[in-house]
Amino acid sequence: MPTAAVLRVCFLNESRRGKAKWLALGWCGFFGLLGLATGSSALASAAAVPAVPAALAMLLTWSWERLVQPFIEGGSPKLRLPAMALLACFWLGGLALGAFDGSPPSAGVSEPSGFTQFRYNWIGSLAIMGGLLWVLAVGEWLVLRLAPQLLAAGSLGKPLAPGLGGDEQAPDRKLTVRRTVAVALLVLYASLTAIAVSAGHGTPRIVRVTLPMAGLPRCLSGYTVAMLSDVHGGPVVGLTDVGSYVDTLNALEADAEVLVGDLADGPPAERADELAPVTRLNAPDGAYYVTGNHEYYHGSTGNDWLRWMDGHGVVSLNNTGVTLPPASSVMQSGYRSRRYPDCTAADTFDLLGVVDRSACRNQPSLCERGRVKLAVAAAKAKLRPAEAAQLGTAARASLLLAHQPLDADSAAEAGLTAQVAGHTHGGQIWYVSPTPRP
Amino acid sequence: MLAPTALHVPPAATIHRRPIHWSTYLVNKGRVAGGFEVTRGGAFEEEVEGIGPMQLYVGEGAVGWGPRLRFWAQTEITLLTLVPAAPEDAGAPSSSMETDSSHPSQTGGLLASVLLIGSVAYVVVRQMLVARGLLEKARGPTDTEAGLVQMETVSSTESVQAQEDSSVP
Repeated sequence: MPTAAVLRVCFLNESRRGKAKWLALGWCGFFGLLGLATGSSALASAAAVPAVPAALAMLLTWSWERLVQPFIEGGSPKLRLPAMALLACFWLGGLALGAFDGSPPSAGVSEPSGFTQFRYNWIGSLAIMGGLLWVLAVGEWLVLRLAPQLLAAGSLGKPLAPGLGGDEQAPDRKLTVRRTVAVALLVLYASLTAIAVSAGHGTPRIVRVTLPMAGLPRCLSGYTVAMLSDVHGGPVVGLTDVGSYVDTLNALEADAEVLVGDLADGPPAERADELAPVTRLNAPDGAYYVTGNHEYYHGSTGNDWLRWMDGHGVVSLNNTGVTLPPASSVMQSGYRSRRYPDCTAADTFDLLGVVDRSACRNQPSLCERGRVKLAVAAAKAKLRPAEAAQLGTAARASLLLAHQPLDADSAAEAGLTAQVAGHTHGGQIWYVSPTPRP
Repeated sequence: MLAPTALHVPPAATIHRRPIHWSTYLVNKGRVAGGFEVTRGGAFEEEVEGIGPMQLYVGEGAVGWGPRLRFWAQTEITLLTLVPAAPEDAGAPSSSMETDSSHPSQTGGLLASVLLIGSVAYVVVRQMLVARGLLEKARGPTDTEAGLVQMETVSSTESVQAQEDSSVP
């Protein structure tokens, strides 16, 4: 169909509201796809500009119809204003509180306050409520299509026209159904929030992974590496939590320990107290660290954390690497001979680390194509200058620490054997953005 | 005395990477949590024949960003045990990654992404059909519309009745 005809049918013939909707959708689609295609954060962020107020407006409307209206309908009109204020406080108050930086109330306080925990949990619970409203809307849509008689018998959310069903008692029954649904929604919201808060504050589970690596010397079979990532020390994670994670890591008695980024939200000048327990990491083959994207936010430059870790007994892998097990110290040599008696000094593998791609904010040259490949080449060149030219041709086992899984394709092209990453938090909160009502 | 709090504006680069399943799934090419095999690019694969795909393990992290909530995702500390990969032709045990825990968040990410894309597609297609006047034929009236139709029917019946009554001498 010619472009002009599409434009006429889909846009020019629309009402003012319809035109606004299409413009917003077009904006989101254009910048969203362009952002995904080019990997540009700025473009992807631009896509969200009309989506955020639109989503908020929809959530307010939906929650008004489904949570508030059933209770004030038929009551005094004076209830309307307080009910609106309550709903606005629920959504906008949580977001407004969340807009303020969660720095500890004074310098030297390394435990989060109860109020900080509360407002962060509140923001998270809004996502859960949004998801529930979305699920309810989809449920209504399905009922409307598959069994409309059920909706005629008792509306789930929307006020019905009077007289529907030909039953004098129908409006009362419908109101009861809507109130029941609203109460169920609130109970579900409270329960799921409690479950999610409990899961977020609980002790992390220990996940044991067997990682096959091509080129790993047979005598090193069973070599263990304990990994910790995404601690986000700061507003809601304090000294006690970080200490507990470090103790758990040490209790695993791994040969080496690795910290794969996002250790803190803020520079060392503000967050060093919370991160102090990392000095207790005590794996025999050492502890190693790479930056995550959050080490470049909130006033931190990334390099400050790399330096801080180096000064506190954790080796920073800033586009460099080490060979493991290390043969440098007598103590470690003794450990090696006990643990891996069949190994010689040549039986090692490479542990490489690249700084997070967010370092490009301070160093744009890192953003060039092949960033990881170049970083790996540089790291290997430092380790074994003679083999640098043969990068990717020797089947020598190499384990890469890179915070984001997005670096995996480049790492694979660089010929690495394996990569471990964090960053995703497993999705953290299951939520689907609201869509316009069916 | 409480120190003054500063207005925190998140950096633009973080906006599209908020830790919610669909965003994480789509931005990270479907790698939300667990083990993955990453194939190597074109000519390189031939160059390092026998090395096989790269192994990638994505951990779910000890805490997380922002609200300390986990829903359809778990916190974790990982213990990796390295073993030599079995040669492909040796008939040895599988050389794929194994874990002792499941990662349901991977499924959650896929589901959220499918639902999101499906929802947006539905809205766009429906809007186009409505704009072209095709949708009204394809679906029945909604509950509200049904009620209005019924009301109109009742009122028109009443007016016909009234007309008939008035026409009676």
